[in-house]
Amino acid sequence: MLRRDRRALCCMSAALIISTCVLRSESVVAFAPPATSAAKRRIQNSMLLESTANNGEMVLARDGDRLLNVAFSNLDDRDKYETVLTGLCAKVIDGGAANSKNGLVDPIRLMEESNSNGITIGPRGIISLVDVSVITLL
Amino acid sequence: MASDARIMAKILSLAISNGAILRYGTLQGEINPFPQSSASAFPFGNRNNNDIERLQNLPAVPVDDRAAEVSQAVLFSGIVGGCVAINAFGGLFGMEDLTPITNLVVGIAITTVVVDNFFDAIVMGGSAVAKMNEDKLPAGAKNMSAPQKEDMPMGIGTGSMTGSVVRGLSRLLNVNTERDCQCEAAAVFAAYSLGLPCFAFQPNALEGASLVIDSMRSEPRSDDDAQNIQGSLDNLASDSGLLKMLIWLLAPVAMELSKYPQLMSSDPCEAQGFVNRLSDQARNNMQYASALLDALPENEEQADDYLRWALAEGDLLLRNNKNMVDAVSKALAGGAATVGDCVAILEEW
Repeated sequence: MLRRDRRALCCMSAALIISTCVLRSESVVAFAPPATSAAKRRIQNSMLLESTANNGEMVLARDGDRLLNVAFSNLDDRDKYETVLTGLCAKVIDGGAANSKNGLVDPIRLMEESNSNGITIGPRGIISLVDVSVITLL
Repeated sequence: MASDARIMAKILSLAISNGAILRYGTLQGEINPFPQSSASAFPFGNRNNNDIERLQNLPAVPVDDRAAEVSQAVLFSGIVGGCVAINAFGGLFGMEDLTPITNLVVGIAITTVVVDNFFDAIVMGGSAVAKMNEDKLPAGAKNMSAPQKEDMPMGIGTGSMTGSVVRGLSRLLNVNTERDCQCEAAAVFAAYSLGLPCFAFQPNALEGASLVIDSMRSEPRSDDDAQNIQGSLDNLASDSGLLKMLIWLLAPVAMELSKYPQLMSSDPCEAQGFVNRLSDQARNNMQYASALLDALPENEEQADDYLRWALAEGDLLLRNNKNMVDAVSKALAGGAATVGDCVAILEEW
């Protein structure tokens, strides 16, 4: 009876550890930037390798950077430019009107670079850029 | 303002090169240039009989003296409010003796305003009541007729006496967000579709004149980053440039006139102010005098023709693109629209 209880307890704790790992991995994927199902699979595979290398333990802080890189590298060029442009513009907007002119240098250079590469920026990037340029008028 | 329009121009230029923006400045070609009038020889434009005839038939740009209207409304409200306050609280300060005078002032003021602005309704209502009770009226009263507006003393009944007070009160008390947004949408649409690198929701004479003067300056040449983010501007000190600026300034007026009888949100004086400011620059600044004098109207009559033509062209532009302007207006009324969002709507993203 006691042995049976011990076995049951061991099984339960093993199941708990496994489910915790699965939940953790899902939560990390959920916070990653949107990616295709193939990209998600690749992210999960890389996490699995990482998990194996660390004896089954997840190192979330270190994975965060790598996941970002993996997720970003899975975007196409158009989305990359749009994402970075939107981010740069958001940073300028957050900085307020005082430094907006200096802050505009990077978004404009990025735009020039995308033009020279023949990559069309998506609407979100253009909307952000126009909003930033309006801030310089204030 | 000097470098900011250039920054906007640079960004729009990059976006156009990128292929992201397709509709900026695409309606410039739909604008009809000022016609050359035989009566007042314009130094520009094509002689076109239809256009000259159209110009002659265009209505005048509406004018209003909103400063005087508001000040008269404030004065009227102050007097009536003061009298009512004396009536209500005068007893506390031993001012009971003034009560008959204040009652008289309030009575005269309110009666004058009501009779002056609702004369027709009062006369019509009185006549109807008299007709319904004709058999009950005494013999002497049956032959009486309602007074005519023209016979009233001091023009009472025509609205000329207290009309400005009523208009001023409506300006002070009436807040119409939808109306404001319609005017703002018209200004943004006009600027974007005519290719002007300025998306002010409420365009004004100073901003317009600064943009024209800035467009006449030579382009900055420097390796400095701050200079590199500035683009080049098309010279607006030309017939077509001036017309575009006037259409932009009068677009809110055209929008409001098409929907409401009185101008509340838009200001028609901005366009005249813009011409006056540029005329001052032409007189005082020799650097810009030649180019500006060629583009500006020679006299007040020509200036009036310019404004009427620009208003009509602005009205046509907005009517032809009503759906787009309405979409921008609704987005602005939603309260969350930025200029970038307006661009997204105009580009139909």
